[in-house]
Order: sequence, then C-alpha cells, then structure tokens
Amino acid sequence: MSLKDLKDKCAIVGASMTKLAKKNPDKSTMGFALEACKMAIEDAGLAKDDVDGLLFTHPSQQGERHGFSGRVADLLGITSNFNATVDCGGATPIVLVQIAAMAVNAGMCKNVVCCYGWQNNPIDIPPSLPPNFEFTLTYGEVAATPFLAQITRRHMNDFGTTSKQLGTVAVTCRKHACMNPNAQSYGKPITLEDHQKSRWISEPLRALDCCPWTDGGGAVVVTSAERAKNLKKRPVYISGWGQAHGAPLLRPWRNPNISDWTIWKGASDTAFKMAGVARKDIDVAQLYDAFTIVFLVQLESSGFCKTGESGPFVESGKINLGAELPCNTAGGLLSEGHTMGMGHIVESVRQLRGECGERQVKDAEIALATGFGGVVNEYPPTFSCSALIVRR
Amino acid sequence: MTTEFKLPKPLPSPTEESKPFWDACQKQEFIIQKCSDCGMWRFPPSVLCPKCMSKHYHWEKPGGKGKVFSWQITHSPFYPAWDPPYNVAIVELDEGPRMHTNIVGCRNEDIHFGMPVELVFQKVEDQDWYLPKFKPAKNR
Repeated sequence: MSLKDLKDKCAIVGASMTKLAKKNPDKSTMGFALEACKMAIEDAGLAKDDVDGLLFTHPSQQGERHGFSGRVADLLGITSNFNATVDCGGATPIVLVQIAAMAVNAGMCKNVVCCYGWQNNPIDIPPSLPPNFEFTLTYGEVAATPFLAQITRRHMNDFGTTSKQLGTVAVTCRKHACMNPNAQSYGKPITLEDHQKSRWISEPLRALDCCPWTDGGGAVVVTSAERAKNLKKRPVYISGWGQAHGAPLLRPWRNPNISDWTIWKGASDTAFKMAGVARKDIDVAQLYDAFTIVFLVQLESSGFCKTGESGPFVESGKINLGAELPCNTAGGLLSEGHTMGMGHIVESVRQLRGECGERQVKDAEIALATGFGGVVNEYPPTFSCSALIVRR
Repeated sequence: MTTEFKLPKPLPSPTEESKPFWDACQKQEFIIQKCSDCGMWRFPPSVLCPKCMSKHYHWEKPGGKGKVFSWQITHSPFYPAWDPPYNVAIVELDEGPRMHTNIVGCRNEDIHFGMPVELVFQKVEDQDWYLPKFKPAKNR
C-alpha cells in the first residue's frame, strides 16, 4: 500500500471554532475542548454516540497534561476505541487529521474528532517555566519570538528580505480577518505604516509580526468517504498529507555554513504527490503564520515560490483575496487568533463548502493548509512541518 | 530602559549529559564533545553521535573562536531578568557546532553577520556561576 491509495478515502465532515479572544474568561482549556467537540459533532450531523475516536493537541499548562484526550472523551460522554494526545507544536492539528485518516482507513474507528483547546493563563496563575532551558534562557532567550527573530535575521541576510515584506503578510492577514466576524482582530484594520511603527519585541520582529495570545478551541470530524456522503454537509475529501521535521540553523553538519531553508519541503512535496495535484491547482491556502517570517518560510517550503523569493512574492499582492493564491482568508494565526493551526483546517473546510461569505474564494475546489511548530527552548531547537490538501 | 520588576537570572540545571560542560565552565574551561569514532564535534552534549550513532566520545577544548551566525535584540523579554535591549546570538564555532550566547564587548548595533568572535567567560551578576560568552576577536 502506498500513500496514494489513501487519497480521498476519508473526509472532514464537521468543523468548529469557538469564540476567540485574548482573554476568554468563561472557560478552561477543557471547557473550550468540549465546546469545540460538541460544535463539530453537531456541524457534521452526527450523534455523540457515533464518535468512537478522539485526538487532542497537547493542552496548555494547567492541571494534569497526561492523557488529556481520554478525559475529553469521558466528559463528552463518548466511548472511544482510539485516543491520543499529540504534540508536534503548531504542526499538531494537521497531524491529528492525518492520524485520524489512517486510523479510519485501518478500520480502527469510524468517526474521529480532532480537537484543540487552549487557555493561556488560567485564573492569573503565572506561567511556570520548565526547569531546564540551559542553553537558551541562560542567555536571556526564551519562547518562540526570539528564536524566530534569529531565523528572520538569517533570512534577511541570506535573501535580502525586509521588514516591510514581513509587514505585508501582517497587513494582508488583518485585511482578511476584517471579513471574519469571529476573528480576534475583526474590525481592527492595520496599515503597513502601523506595522513599521509597532514596537520591537525581538528585533528584527515587531509586535505586529507576532500572533496574539488566544484563548479558544476548535475541532474537525474525520470519517470515511463512504459515510461522509450521507451526512449533513458537503464532504471535504482528504487528498494528501505530509510531514517534515528538523533542527534548522543548529545542525551545521547537515548543511555546513548555511542556513537550511529547505528542511521542511518534504511536508508539502509528500502531500502534493499523494494528492496528485500541482501548486497551481490550489485555489486557497492557509499557511502557518504564528509569525510573519513563518508564513514566508511556509510559502517557500510549500513550493509556491523559490527559496528566498517569498518577500517579493507577498509584495506583489499574490496572497490577497481575489489574487493568484489567496492565503489565510480567515485572518490566520496573526489576526484570526492563535489556534495552533486548527483555524487553518477549519477555514479550508469552510472555503470548500462555500460558507465564507464576504471572504469566500469563488468556486474554491482544492485547498492547502500547513502547520509548523516545535520546541525552541530546549537544545537543539527543532521544528515540525505538516501539510494537508483537501478538495470538495 | 529598565523593566519594572526583575526576576533573578536563571542558572542552568545541568543534565547527566551536560554536567561536564557546565562543571568545566565554572573552572573557566570550555570543553565540548567530540565523537571518538567519526571525529565530529557536537553540541548540545548527548549520549551518542547524531552523525554515526557511536556512543564513544570524549570532551575536548575547541579553539574558542567562531563567527556570528545570527542574533536578535530582545526589547521585550518574556522572562524579565535582564535590562533590555540586550542581544542573544547564535555563534558558529570554527569546529562546526552552533550555540546560543551573548556578544559582549561591543554595542548591539555593531554586531554583524560573520563577525569573528572569541570566547570569554563572564560571571553571572549576583550569582556564583560562569557562562561562556563571545567578544569581537582581535587579529583575525
């Protein structure tokens, strides 16, 4: 059996996104998870007893993190044959869909809910730092922003990428978010000048290069293509997927003296090969964008432009709604909110169903979503990239 | 600019693998692992070589010279123990490995790509602990 044999054998039949806000005071991580699961199951037109698999992204730091998916399933009141709590950072939601499709194909379960839920700072408990960031925090570097700033600086050096090009990504995502009433930044347009005036967080990254803190949840339901035909909404078929993993910048023996920008290319290459489609066939793309630089790197590693040419690509306006490759139509992590990338899957589904109103890409048939995430504080900082191609 | 409140500077909590590295630092000696089979220098410390998977290694003193591979200037620290703006750089040692560090002995604005640097040990303020840092190299 090859990956191609699994093309279009499963479908996403339910999708949900809760209210998103910087501080959503009324729910815990578990609360968001349960609400998102309920919404997605209902969106699919399934009864809760139809659900026999549950996958969850790693929860935020509160309470017992181990076995989280098991407690979500129990509190939903479902009997599950297949559970896992998965951690590939921001690549996770797409990885959940991949695992769900494989499990359904293997006959292990029928209907799998892939869920995300997150509350950043429950009841003002200060975030606790794991004890051993010995090679980063010791020097004053902690969390994703400064490490992505190192990557940004290197991209600027290697290819001449500019802060204004990064800003173009932020402005485009915000423009799209202003057409998404559920986006965290809905009704708050920004200009390139606003981006250029926003304060440095970790230079060369400015405040508007970074996605906001978001409390919320989201979920999708994966089932077989056969069962999908008889459900409430138009099925969105899972055509291709892929992953790639690696430690950029810090593994010089793989690629001496240069930054390895092609390390994540395998994710989308595998997905496009499995789906049997070309880059030009993609009608709408949701590329991971926790930071503007991540979007640029994803644009390159997804094969929409050559390595190093993402800056001019975004400046040419090609990622706008109505243009050649409309991207991050719900606003992305930068402006819809940081949903670990679950928002990118949900938006792909909604675009292919034609549910997107003002921001709808006309006749969208094939969509790409990517995920990107990892560990930046422990050595060596590693990243995972995931890709998902869906069609209606 | 000074942050309103400051946390104590965090010190490393060495693991079984990294303890020899940090112990040497306290004697102001800079040692990293070298694979005894394929000869590759590596960082971070590990029980095996990621190139040939050999478990045989020894600790050796690199020359202590390298160049700036990338850097960022932190203006808004997530963990407020230092006065911003301050730099955190990734330095590539002449022997190959890359590591986080601070560039000392020059202004943040003077840091540039490929800048030759050399090792200098610096005591952590108010703490009995030495960290390997890098300063602009002379005569390179």
